Amino acid sequence: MPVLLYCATQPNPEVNVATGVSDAAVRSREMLGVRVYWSEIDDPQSLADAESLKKAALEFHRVLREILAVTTPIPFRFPTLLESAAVLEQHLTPEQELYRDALARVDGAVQYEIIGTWADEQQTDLATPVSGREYLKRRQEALGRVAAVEGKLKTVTADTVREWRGREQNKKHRWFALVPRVERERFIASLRTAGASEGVRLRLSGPWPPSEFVAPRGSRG
Amino acid sequence: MSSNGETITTLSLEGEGEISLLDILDHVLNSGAVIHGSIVISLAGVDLVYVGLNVIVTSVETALRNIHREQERPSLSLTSAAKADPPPTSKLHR
Repeated sequence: MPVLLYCATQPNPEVNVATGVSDAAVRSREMLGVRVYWSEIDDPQSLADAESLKKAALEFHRVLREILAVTTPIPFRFPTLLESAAVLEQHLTPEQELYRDALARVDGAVQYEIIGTWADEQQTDLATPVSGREYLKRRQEALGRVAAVEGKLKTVTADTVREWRGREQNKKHRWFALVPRVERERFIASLRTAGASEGVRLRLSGPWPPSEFVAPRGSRG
Repeated sequence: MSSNGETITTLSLEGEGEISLLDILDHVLNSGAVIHGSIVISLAGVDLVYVGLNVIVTSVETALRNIHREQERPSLSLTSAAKADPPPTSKLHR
């Protein structure tokens, strides 16, 4: 029977989640030095339309959240389906060291995400061609604005963050903070004290599973 | 959105709110470890793994809506990539 993978965690503790996607039981097993969580899916066709997929994605997210409340998971991208539970170890074997390294790197931490949106950047007319010099000038200004906000974020959160990562996406900048569980309240409190930055809206969400920190730093997989 | 002992919230300068559906879809579809050789689900002939790779935070729902709109009837293709691409390998991706 096909299985839908949720995540890998450290072998202990084992988290008991009653039901997962499509009300299927959530199972776990220790293999290759990690614990893997999955559900057997009777009918994968039930995921094959947009509404069902959306519902299943939410159920998938709920399972991850319940596990995240206890231990730090490395999620598999939804929907990762394998032919059966029997081939799980076969599929995980080639990258077993990477999974173990990633779990050690994120152990005891959660991920927060901060999205920075600049009002004037959103109004930029991309359809109108600009000269190379003008493009470079705008690019330089954008990089400067990102660096200014980033500097402020890192300063105010200081020792509450284990590692920062970030990337630009669709005229926004996304920062990801790997925050030890014990520092969560201090991290959020420090952000509240940061105050507003002119022209930029910052939106924090989390805690999330630390999926941005799965790959080693500098690797884009 | 609350759960057993864990709440995911958003925080902006204006206040806190519940995490949006868009946030959740973006995270589960666009991030996480990828296992090559896994079964590929397609919506309207578009492999979800590619939908996940290419959509961006502001267009996850739009992409899903467009896919849904384009298909008169939902279709599923299950392909065992493992058969076509042995041996299976996995990849940590973001």
